[in-house]
Amino acid sequence: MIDSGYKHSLLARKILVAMAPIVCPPEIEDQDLIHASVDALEAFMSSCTGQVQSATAVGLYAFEFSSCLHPAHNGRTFSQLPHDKAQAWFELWWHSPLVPMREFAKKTKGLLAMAYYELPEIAEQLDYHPEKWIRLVARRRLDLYGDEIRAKEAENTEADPLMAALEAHR
Amino acid sequence: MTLPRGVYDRDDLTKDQTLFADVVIVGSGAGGGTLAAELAEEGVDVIVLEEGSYNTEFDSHASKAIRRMYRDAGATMSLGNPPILYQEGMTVGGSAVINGGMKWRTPDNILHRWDVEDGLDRIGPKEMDFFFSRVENRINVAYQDPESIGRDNQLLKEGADKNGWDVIPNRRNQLHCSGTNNCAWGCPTGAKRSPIVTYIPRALHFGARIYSNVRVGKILRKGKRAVGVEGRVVKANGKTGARITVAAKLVVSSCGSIQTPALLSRSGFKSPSGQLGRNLSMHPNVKVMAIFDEDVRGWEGVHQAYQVREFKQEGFVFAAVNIPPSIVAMTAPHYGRGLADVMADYNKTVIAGLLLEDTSLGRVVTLPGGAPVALYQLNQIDFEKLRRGLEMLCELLFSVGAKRVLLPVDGMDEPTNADEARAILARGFPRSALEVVTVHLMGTARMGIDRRWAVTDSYGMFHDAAGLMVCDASLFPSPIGVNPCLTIQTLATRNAAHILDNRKRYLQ
Ligand SMILES: Cc1cc2nc3c(=O)[nH]c(=O)nc-3n(C[C@H](O)[C@H](O)[C@H](O)COP(=O)(O)OP(=O)(O)OC[C@H]3O[C@@H](n4cnc5c(N)ncnc54)[C@H](O)[C@@H]3O)c2cc1C
Ligand code: SF4
Repeated sequence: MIDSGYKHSLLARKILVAMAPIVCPPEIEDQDLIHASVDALEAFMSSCTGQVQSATAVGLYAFEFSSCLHPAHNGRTFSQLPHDKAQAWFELWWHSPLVPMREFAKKTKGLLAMAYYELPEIAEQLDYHPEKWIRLVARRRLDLYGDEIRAKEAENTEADPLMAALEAHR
Repeated sequence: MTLPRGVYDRDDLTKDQTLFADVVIVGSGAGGGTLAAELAEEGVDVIVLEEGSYNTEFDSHASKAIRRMYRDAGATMSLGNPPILYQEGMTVGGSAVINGGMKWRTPDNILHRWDVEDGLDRIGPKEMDFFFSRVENRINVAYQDPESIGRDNQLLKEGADKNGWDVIPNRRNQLHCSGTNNCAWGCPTGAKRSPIVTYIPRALHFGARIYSNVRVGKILRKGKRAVGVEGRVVKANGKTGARITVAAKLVVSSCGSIQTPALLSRSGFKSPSGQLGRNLSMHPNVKVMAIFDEDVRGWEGVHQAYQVREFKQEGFVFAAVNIPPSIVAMTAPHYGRGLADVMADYNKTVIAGLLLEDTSLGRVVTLPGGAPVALYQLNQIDFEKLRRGLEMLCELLFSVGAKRVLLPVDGMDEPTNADEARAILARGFPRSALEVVTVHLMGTARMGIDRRWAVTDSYGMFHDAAGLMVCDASLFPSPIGVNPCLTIQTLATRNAAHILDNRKRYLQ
């Protein structure tokens, strides 16, 4: 695993913290999972290429500062906006006819939502328990077919040279 | 983790070194791993260089698996309309370690086309039967045990049956798969007979050496002859480490359809055919989410237990593919409250996908720094087929009780019955609004008898260089309309036989 040690800049973190309650289920605030989601995203981005990391940062800053130009925002950046205005700003990007704006909104939502839905608390809430299932059926597999499985696995390193087999076939 | 004998990783490779072998293979995936095992068993001295790590333990943590085993954390996109998210494996054993395990032979009509139109040598179904059987036997291609099939797949089959459509059980490389639906993050039970539990241990057993965490930057040449490769260790922080040089009589590029043309191009190899990097097929894939009243729990059971083949002649097939909540949430066209509502029904959801045999062709260009970029424009014919496929898929899902279906189209209404789906899809939508993904990349160093229109000969030998073979999905002259992995492994076995049949020419 590549772990480049990527860390969100303070500003990027601030923007993501402001975005999380808009793009993730609104309960994220009451559940106190905003920072956990932003941290999980940071860990994920550590394995992305430098280009993806920089493109995300550029997108976040553009999203943050272009908000100042909106007549209804009184010069405030996205992370300074009250919730309803911040939500409307995100929606403007999400539905934008301009592909880069729309793609930024979609990709950032995608990453934050992925991070949120991978938190153990949320898996529990969804009644999603793959590890339990894996343990159960892995045991069933060995109970039912253990001997055959072991025999087949042992066969894997038995000699069976290609050219002799091909010769015999020809 | 202790590495098996014959495997070296970044912790072992701290100093520059030069190694010698008969054959050096770049990439340990479906093509490279298979070739390595077959050659090593015949006494050929083989070195494999692989950029990814040696991973053998797998669990259900999706984003951890993506970080460990997917190139660029799975976030690669082709440029075009629509942009297509594609994924390549980067781990010892390659994409086959994280693939779905579907294993179909190349359809006869495709082999026939490769024979007649591309002039490939001995490629007919009869000549290929030995090679297919050999691989199928090694990786245990079989039908699923009934207890491994979950409710989502039963619903797909019931839907096809209800409509009188052709639906068949899938052939998968598995040994009593227990239905954990974890294939894309690596098989936690060892049931999936991927290269990491078959060809790779076999290659090591017969003496091959595998250097993991080594990224090959270029193939070394003397004039038009390939004489070895040069790579750099990739450190845990992604930075470049020691230089690893391998001198060999035969160099094989098995980096997959995106990386192989880039490696050859940045090493200065040219094909007068102009086809190196061209002829890229992708089997574009679109998915829908159908929400039912009943509990489906798609993660309890194998994915893609069946394939709906009714529309194969039109170029598309359907399957049910459960995806973990995090990835569903990432790709769902919703946010905020809408996302929460969709996700609340996660356990009642069937995710079904459509795989298209494409007629669009893209290409891979190599940037000045040596990195590849895929360019792919979905043509009108394929776009129309995807639209029609979505219509048919909705018909199937509503016929077995879906309450609503989420379409992979940005901003599109959610149909609640088949008539609505038809009407909504008939209204039309821009190509850019369609969410397309793929995991099948093929064809960028096509085989063919004639160097004027093909990059390699019938056995992957580069037409315009000596000592250089391609052995991966880039060899495909055309898309094949079914999952490609078995074809890649079979061609690799056939390539191995070709090398061994011509030892004097290639290995002395
Ligand atoms: C998630 C997923 C699901 C899939 N499901 C199926 C399925 O069910 N059935 C099916 O038939 N197919 C499936 N596929 C596709 C199939 O797995 C691939 O087509 C096949 O593995 C490609 O084989 P390959 O040899 O061309 O490349 P790969 O198997 O991708 O191997 C290439 C290897 O080369 C390494 N490499 C690349 N560049 C370098 C370099 N410069 N230096 C060193 N190493 C390098 C890579 O790290 C990689 O390990 C799936 C793929 C994915 C990603
Ligand atoms: S579904 Fe079967 S093959 Fe896939 S990961 Fe689970 S046990 Fe392995």
